[in-house]
Amino acid sequence: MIVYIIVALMFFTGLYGIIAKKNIIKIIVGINIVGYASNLLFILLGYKWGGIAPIITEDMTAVYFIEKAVDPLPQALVLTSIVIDLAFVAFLAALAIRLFERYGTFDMDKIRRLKG
Amino acid sequence: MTLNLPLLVVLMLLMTGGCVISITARSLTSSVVSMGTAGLILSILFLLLGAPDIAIVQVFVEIVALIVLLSTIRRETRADMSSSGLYGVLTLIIFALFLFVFMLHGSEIVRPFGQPVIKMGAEYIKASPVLLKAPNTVTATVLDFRGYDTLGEATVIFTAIAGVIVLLRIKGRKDE
Repeated sequence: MIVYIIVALMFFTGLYGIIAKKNIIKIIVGINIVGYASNLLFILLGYKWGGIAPIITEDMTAVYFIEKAVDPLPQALVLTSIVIDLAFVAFLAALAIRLFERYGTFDMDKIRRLKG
Repeated sequence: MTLNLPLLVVLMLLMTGGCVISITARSLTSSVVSMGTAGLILSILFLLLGAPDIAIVQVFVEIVALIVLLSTIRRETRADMSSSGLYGVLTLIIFALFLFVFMLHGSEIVRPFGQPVIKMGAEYIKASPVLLKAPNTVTATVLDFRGYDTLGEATVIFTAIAGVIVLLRIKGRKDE
């Protein structure tokens, strides 16, 4: 159970970055950290002790493979999620670049003040 | 390679430390680089947890995200001196309490670590070497059993890249 608690700590760290920080780069980093924590949680939920990667090789029998392999379904979902995270971060970085060109700062308070 | 609980906990604590440093650091460069450290430790964790495909993808994605963020912050030389106000801390506490209640409810139904009940995945493990002749079950799941998911993922990535190109184009509108 302790691994799940550490994952929750990581999640709250990212959440603190998203909510409390004023710098756009810190917010992007916080979103990334929340993504790390959720991906890691899925992989931890599918792991079994003494498990092997779900890749069958020549020297394995089918029974041994079915007995030992970890859950492939969360791995497939996380594979999708990681790539979407990257696209999301690239989009946020593009938004941050445009905001910096217009306002000359990454600070959310100053951007709010210069509105209009 | 075998995995035991102390090794796993130590690696995860290192990763959490990287996350904390990247949120609290003053300099934006050290913040982004600590995030990269956490991501690389995460890829080692994936490798130890029996997910080599994801470990490879995580290393690649981490390096690309690091390059994107570093090229973003090269414009800003000032450090991040912003402190979180009272409003932010209050919002965080309310949010955290909500999530904590949800997590308490979830912890009642979650299985102990290392003893999962594999239902859908067991069918994939059985079917992929026989039906598809695919040695790698994860690839078989992504590309065959759940091909529509991958199609949706490709749509999302296409949309995001189109958004990036629209935002970062050099030429503006002609009537401006």
